[in-house]
Amino acid sequence: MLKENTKNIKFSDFSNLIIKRILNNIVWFIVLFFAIILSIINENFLSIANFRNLLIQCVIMGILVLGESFCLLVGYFDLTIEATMLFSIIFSAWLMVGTSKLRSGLDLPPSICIIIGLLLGVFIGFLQYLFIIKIKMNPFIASLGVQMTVLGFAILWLKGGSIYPLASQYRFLGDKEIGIIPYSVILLIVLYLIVNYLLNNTTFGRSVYAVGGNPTAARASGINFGRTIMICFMVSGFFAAVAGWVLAGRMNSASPLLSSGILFNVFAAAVIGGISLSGGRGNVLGAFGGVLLLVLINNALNLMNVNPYWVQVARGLVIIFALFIDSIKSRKT
Amino acid sequence: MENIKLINIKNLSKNFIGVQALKNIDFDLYEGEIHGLVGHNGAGKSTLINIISGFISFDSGYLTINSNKIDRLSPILAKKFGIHVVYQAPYIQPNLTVAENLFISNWPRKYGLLVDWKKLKNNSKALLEKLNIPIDINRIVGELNLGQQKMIEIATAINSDSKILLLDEPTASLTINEIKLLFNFLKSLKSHGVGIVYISHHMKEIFEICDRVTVLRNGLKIVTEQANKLNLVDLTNYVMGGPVLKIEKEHKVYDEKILIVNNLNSKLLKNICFYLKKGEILGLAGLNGSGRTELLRAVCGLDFSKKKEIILNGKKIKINNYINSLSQGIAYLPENRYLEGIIPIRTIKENLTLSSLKYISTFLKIINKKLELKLVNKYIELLKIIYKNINNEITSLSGGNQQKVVFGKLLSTQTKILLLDEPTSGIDIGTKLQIFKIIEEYVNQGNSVIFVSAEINELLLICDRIVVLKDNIIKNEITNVEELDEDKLLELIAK
Repeated sequence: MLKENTKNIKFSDFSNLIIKRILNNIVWFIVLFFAIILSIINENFLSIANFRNLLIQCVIMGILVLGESFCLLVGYFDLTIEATMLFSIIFSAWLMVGTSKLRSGLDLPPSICIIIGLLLGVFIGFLQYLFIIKIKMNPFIASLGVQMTVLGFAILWLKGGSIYPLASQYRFLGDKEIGIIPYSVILLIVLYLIVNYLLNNTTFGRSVYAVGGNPTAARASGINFGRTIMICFMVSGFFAAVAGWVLAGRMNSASPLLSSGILFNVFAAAVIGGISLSGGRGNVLGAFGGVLLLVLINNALNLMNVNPYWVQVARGLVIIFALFIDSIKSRKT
Repeated sequence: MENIKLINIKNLSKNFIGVQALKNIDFDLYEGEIHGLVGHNGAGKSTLINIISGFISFDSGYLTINSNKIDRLSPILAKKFGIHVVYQAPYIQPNLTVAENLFISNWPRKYGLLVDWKKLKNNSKALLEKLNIPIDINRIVGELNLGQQKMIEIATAINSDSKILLLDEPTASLTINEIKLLFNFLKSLKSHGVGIVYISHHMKEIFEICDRVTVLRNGLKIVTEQANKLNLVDLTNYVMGGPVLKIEKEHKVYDEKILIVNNLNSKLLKNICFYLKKGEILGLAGLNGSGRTELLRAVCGLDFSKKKEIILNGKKIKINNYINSLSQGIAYLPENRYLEGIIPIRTIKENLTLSSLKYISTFLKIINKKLELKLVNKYIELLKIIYKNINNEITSLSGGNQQKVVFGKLLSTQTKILLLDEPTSGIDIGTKLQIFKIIEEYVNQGNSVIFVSAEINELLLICDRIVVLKDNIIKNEITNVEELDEDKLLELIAK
């Protein structure tokens, strides 16, 4: 009798472990599923050109998800990323040398403008930290307030117009490539590898997970709680600006119309990739799986000639499914 | 009267996912009886309670409630049978009045829609009189003390026809006076035919209030016996399967004052001055709310304090936050393990090394995984932590082992002074003993400890000197701990 029991225990332990593994990596199973469907309905799916295409579509959302992951892991939201991205594009294009009438006339060289754009992103992240942690405003609404203000500035700055063309030294990241691989794809892959390494192998990474997992305990363990959150918001803003740099280069213009509504997709990708909305759980490689999945779903619906209005429905369902998985995972522990 | 069995359990077994099991448990509860349930953490008490209240199904065995045979019990069904669980944390509506709480699930109505306030007040008054609870029904429940809140919670259960009360550590975080009142109340409930299952780690309480005692160990029932036929030694033996809590004090206290705190003031604390010698275990005694926790937190910079002077090793130092404190070698073990001690969703390894990351990382702050593993293994061995895999979540461990991980986290910071806030709360006697040994070994190396505990016998057991706090000031200092007994110390604390 006793022997049987121990056997049962071992088996259920094992099956539990498997279930956990599957839940943690569920995004890759779904990605595989969609990839198989796509390769059946479209014979060109398994071509190098198509993969290249898919990766290019991943770049902007991928970089934004990377930044957002820091904020989510530490237990906060950054709602400003899209606004930050747009404003940093517009502001740096406005300063830059060029031919458009809407410029400031300062004619700064592109390299300086790139740096200013990135710093602007970092600054917007820092502002949120200031409001949320130092002044202790409600995190969600404070972030929303900053996002509305920044987006407002982005639209106001050019009075609804746009700046084009942009200097080629600014554009290289968005529209140049080595062989057949675009710079932006290389950047995406390198950034993911670096961030993954940082989060898993540095004391800062541990602090991020600890603060997100239990802020009070992290503080009572000697973790510099405020600084960790500050860096996360600043990194998020930084990556938003990087995404903007790539996007503006690709479109060869700076305008508030370059992007709308990507914020929600970023959250969807992160969550379905296993990053918990309550903080402290998940990794960025999974989040990349989430990005890939959203791009694939888009691709599949396009190929099947589905009415584009359904795309929105599909994304909504993906988010609900992702949250469902998230809640199962938190119940399991 | 003692013949009606409210609960009857025979041969009950439960297999869990590898964690623990109940094996062939027999248990019964009579009307008007208080039945104590004792055992280690992980002995199966909570599992049994959860089965009786329908939150967990059982694998095999025979269960009757009020003489109804039950195969599958759900929480709703359990409620219908009048089973009510009172957990450690009060489940009440803190912003409503006593009367409103009492009738929260069955408001008296008039015209089918409106609350009949008059009836509500009259019924509440009658109920409290019947149950002999001297509390004004118009008071806001959140303003009552914890003991009174517990009584109101139980009264609410009685009011909705609960016949079987399952009390899980009801006296945790109650003061001595509150406990006294609660016990009188529980005793008076017996005459109303209520059966009570009483879980506690405090042996003294078990003897004071229980009619019968059942001891569980490792999922097995060891014994069920009339409480008056048992003595403390027997009971402890049953629980631990070994001798009574006793520890040899071996460490040497040096004359050198390693830590001097002068003039510590905070929002609550007033003019706290004390010292700590090298190799000493200093106990802080006092009632709940006397400022014990606040004192520790103010010293290590977790709470704000002003005008304090801290002298460590003869040098005046500044501690503005906990990071300062850690780097000076003063570490703090929080009172509430789950809220402040551990990061529940992260692994055992990450929890253990969280405070000492700087010792295992390079100058670029990259963690050396080999060093980390070595550190983790060192403390797992030293503290005898029982685990399956260090990469499992820390919540996969039992409470006692979680606490050992927290100890490991503190010790690995190479600290010289440990501030321990209720390090043994909610931990079984076996693990307690191990924790005392850890503390003993720690001070043996010339380190010092400040030890806060609500359990007087623990203070007497381990401390070299005891400081008594009351109303956020230091009231008394006892240097001759050996000559003190529990009653004398109690008197000093309470007066």
